Amino acid sequence: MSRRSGAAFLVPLLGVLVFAVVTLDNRFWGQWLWAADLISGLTVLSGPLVAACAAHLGWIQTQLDDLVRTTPRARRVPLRCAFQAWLWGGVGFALSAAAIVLATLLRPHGGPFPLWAAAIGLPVLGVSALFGALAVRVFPSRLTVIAVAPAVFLVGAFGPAPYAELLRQGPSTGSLAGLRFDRSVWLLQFGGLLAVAGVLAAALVVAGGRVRAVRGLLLPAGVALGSLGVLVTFGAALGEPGRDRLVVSEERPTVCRGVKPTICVAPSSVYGLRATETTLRRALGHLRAVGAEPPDRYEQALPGYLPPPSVGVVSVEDGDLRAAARSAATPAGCPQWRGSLPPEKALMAQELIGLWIRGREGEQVVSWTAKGDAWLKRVADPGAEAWIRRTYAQLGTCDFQHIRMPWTSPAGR
Amino acid sequence: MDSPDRHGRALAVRASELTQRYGARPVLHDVTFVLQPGVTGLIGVNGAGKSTLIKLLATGLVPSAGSLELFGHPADRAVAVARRRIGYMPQSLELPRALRVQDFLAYVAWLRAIPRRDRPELIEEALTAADLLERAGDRVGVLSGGMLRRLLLAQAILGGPDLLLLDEPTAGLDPQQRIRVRRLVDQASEHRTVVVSSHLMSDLVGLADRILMLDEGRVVFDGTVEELGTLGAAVVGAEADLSPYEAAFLKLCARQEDR
Repeated sequence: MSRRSGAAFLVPLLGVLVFAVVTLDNRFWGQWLWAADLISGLTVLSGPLVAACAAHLGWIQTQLDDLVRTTPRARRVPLRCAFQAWLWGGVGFALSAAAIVLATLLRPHGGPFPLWAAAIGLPVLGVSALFGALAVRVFPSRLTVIAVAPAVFLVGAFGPAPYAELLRQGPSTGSLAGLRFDRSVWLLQFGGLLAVAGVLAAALVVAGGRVRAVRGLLLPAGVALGSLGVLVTFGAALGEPGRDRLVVSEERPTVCRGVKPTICVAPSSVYGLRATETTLRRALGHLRAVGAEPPDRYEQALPGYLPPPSVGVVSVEDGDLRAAARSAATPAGCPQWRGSLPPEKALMAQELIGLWIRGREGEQVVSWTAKGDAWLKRVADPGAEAWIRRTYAQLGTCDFQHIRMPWTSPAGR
Repeated sequence: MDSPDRHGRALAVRASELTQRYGARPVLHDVTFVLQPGVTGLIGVNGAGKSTLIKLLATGLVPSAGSLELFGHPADRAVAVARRRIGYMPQSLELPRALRVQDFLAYVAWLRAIPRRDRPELIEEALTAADLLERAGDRVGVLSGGMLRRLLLAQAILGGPDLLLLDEPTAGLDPQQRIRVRRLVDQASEHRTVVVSSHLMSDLVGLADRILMLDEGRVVFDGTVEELGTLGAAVVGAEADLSPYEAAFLKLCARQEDR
């Protein structure tokens, strides 16, 4: 109703957004694509709050209904509540976007920054606001104001696909390196959200004032029907198999660091290059110490790209030794890694070598079997070192079929 | 359809056989009247249908039957235009306590579609008229009952509406406040069509040019204050403790009960 009524919601709105950002797994700060996804994805939380704000403003209006419905703008009042809530939600959205951009800039950053994709958060907030305003208009009660936020959240979380997904625009919990936003899906979702907004707005106009003549219904009914048509059409397109908001991109590991090995990652993963290099070199040092020969180059595997067999495969982690040990134990981008059947023995050997590296680092490690645990206890045994050298070479030449686990080899070799 | 008043202007209100029901329960029956510039007092006991009639005139309700013309046009066809010319003070309203007086009026100005550039001046005018200018920055929650009534009056007169509908503007006020509000209504009624409802004759004598009395949803008297007094004077001898107006009031109500 007044600016202050809506502003009162800005504080909890920002509080929730700050809480969400702070408590999020922050491994991917520095990846612009992830930042864009985070900006739009925060509407999963801010959307329900904006709905509650609209419902609160609408609730105040219902107290003034006797007066409001005698005024020329009576039918616009519920829309105004939604608009004001959307406006405040937009302020929170812009502030959190600015904070996320700043946080990204504070770390090594890179990759494409599709800020346009984050803009889909605005219609998400609009739909949420209209839903809140309509809910309190249909059920004018304080309880509605309280119930509307969880309702919007639950619709987004458990509603029917692909419509519920319109309210869930991220945030992704994994790295988005090697991916991009699909513009056609984005446009369909944007249009779908506008259509939902059209249906809700038309319902709100009708619910907002007593219709004195049938012709008063014509425009809202037309808007509602048109929007519904668009929604169903776009919904059907979005429901087609393979329609994902994130698809494989042309991004390749082109940002490199160091020699022997040279470690290359995608521009989107530059945030973790230095830490990855440090831990990978440490891990490789243990392999070299027993005579294994790591490749000269490691490259990051991406959704659309597996390094060639002459190159090792590195996963970008923020200084995590476990991941570095596994990367160290992947000396070649063998096609079997992405075959239809998992290379079981190679995976076990890779895992055991990783555990061996971590054991050499002083970690207390346990394997998946008692035989493996027994083997890990005698890592200084020359026989164990021979197994490491031989198996590492087999992993490096993609010769997976001849790999034997140490407890199946004579004397653990 | 459009009978002008004596100055050639369209009549503010022409009600013809207006009927209003809440569900199956009739509240107004075949009410017919026209309103011209000046103050019309709407009187009747509680539940007589006064508030319903005022809400109908304010376009807050759609009549169940009959026709209503506002400013020469059927109310159901030109409602948005008519609403721009109507100021309505409801009998009671739950105002948001945290809101400031001037913000509330600014909101009402928006509701009334008053152009943005005119709002500050008109709000100040309304606050001055309601003697609330010094409380413009106060929150609604700290206002006394009398001030709240004056604030409701201020929002009704905001922008100088041609038809002012005041539903029990003095309800719940002490005598001093009643006089104050009556004077404000008197000032606000110049060059306008004003309808003031009350269940107290004393609120309307000296203020209204014309009295419309409702009982059980029917118009039982439509005339001047003097005519009502004359009607009451005939019976005042029998009811010595009553004023002529009160006597007339009782007589008309009794006549209705006899029907």
